[in-house]
Amino acid sequence: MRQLLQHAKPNRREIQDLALRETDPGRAGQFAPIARGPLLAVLALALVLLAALPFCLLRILRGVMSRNVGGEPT
Amino acid sequence: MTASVDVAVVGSGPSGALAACRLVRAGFRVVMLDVGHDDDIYRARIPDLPFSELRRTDPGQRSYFLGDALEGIPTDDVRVGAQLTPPRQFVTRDTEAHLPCLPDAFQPMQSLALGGLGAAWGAASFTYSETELQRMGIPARGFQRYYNEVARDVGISGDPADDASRHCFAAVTEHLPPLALDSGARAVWQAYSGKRRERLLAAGFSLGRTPLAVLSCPVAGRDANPYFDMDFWSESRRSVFRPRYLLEALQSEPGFFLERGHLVHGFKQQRDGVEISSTHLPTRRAAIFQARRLVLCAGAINSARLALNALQLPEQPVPLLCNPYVYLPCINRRMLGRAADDRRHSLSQLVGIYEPPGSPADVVSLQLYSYRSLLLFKLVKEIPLPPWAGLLSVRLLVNSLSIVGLHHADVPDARRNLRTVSVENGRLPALRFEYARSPAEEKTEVRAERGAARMLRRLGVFPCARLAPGPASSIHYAGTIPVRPQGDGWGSHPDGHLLLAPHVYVGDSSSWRYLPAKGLTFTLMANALRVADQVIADLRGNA
Repeated sequence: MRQLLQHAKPNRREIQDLALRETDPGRAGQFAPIARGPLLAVLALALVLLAALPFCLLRILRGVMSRNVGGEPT
Repeated sequence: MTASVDVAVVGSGPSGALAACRLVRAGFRVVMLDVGHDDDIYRARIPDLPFSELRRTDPGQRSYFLGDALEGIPTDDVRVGAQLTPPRQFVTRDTEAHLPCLPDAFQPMQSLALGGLGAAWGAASFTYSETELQRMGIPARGFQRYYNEVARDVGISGDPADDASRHCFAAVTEHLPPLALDSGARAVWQAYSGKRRERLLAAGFSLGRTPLAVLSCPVAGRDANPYFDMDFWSESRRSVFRPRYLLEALQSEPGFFLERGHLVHGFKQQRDGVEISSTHLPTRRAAIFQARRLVLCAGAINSARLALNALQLPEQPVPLLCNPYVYLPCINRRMLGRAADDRRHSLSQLVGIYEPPGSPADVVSLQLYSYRSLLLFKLVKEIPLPPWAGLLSVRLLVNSLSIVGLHHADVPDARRNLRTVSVENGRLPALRFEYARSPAEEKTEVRAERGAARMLRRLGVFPCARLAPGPASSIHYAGTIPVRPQGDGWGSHPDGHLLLAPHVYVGDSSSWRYLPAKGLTFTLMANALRVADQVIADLRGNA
């Protein structure tokens, strides 16, 4: 299970891209905390997780398949 | 060959700095030997501004937040030392080359830096009780005064009257007022009151404000912490104690010589003193120093490495203590969706001590940190979600995110040792480690962690995961040259000298026979003063 979840994590390129964007002062607002109260936080989190689920499954599938054909996990 | 001195100190970390201070002030000529790397790249680049303002305005922030070679973007799994930011990475520079360790499961963090591991220390300052000191092999009677002397020299902020501070900051009178808590810590602190506090105390849990070697008001040319949340990156106006500040002051003393660039790899006890061998790394030249006494303050791992090499004891296993450490990312429900203070410091906000009912010996210490200035991408990379979803989630949660670090105590065990693999001339030998916890120990630790997690939940702090970065991850090492009251062979005497080389003293945690479940640096510095006093008595008795 742990190995499957590893496939869903961002890859090196994505991490680097994220780090570079985060340290761009013009994009600071895209990384600011969102504080709109606890109810909205829980609702928003639930929606994000629901929306992300198909993408997670796709990444896990891609990761497993590329492993099976001997490629690098994406 | 250099002129002879009274005392040579190997290592410029917290113990070396305090020992050297004591010896120089007592009128002795002291040479300090260390490679002594320092940050010559990033320190000057970081503006004296709050984190939030830098993030919005500084076009040069990428260089110090990520590093010129993007060395601040860790992509491996969580590992020992991964927390070092680019401005702190000089702390471990060149250690793989000059302090080699075989690729075992135990991979310690080591340092050749000016200030040693103290150059990146989290500043938590805990005292040990008399029982703990005695168990460690340190004479407890009269030891408390050393804590106060250190507190005066380095500047420690805290409140000895807190519930937890009674376990870990007791009897410190020379302290500064405690630092202010941030909004997340205040929410937890306010929950720890009334009937809830009584129930937690009855269950063996106490909470307090973390005593920190950080100035809450200006002292001796160093400023109070500005609450910029930049303590993992910048000097914070020198408010966070670094051994380097003491050494800078010492350099104006005529009897102190700081010899940087030197990797000490051997010593020879002589009739009236010690001959110390080193290599000056920039020139690759061999050097010899003569001193009446030598004090080893290279850290438990490297003091042992040096002594084993000097005494030609390859493959001799010596004990190794290291606090087992895990950390728990937690959600502080009282902060969920709420705005957090911009003005804060980055270091440990609160300390908890948990003594499991029925087994108070299995005490666990906890430290609670808020999370912001270590950047969000480091969180997003650990979440099994696409980056856009991970980032949104983290933005929703970060104000309520607390990181709780837990330490357990360690005792000597045949499963935990190190040894050198050879005798080397002109350099230091590689080390081989064995480090394993017994099934009974693991069971006890997990049970204590579960108990601590229950206490946290009662305060509204909910652990989401348990992360174990590895056996060496606490970066607390001790016990490699343990105190033995009598006999000969490998070990040290209660007064600090090596049993096999009476002119050589152990000034760091190498001599400790037990490692309590609390940060060791405050006690390390206090013990260094005690050992320095022994050296002084020895030299004056032999004058």
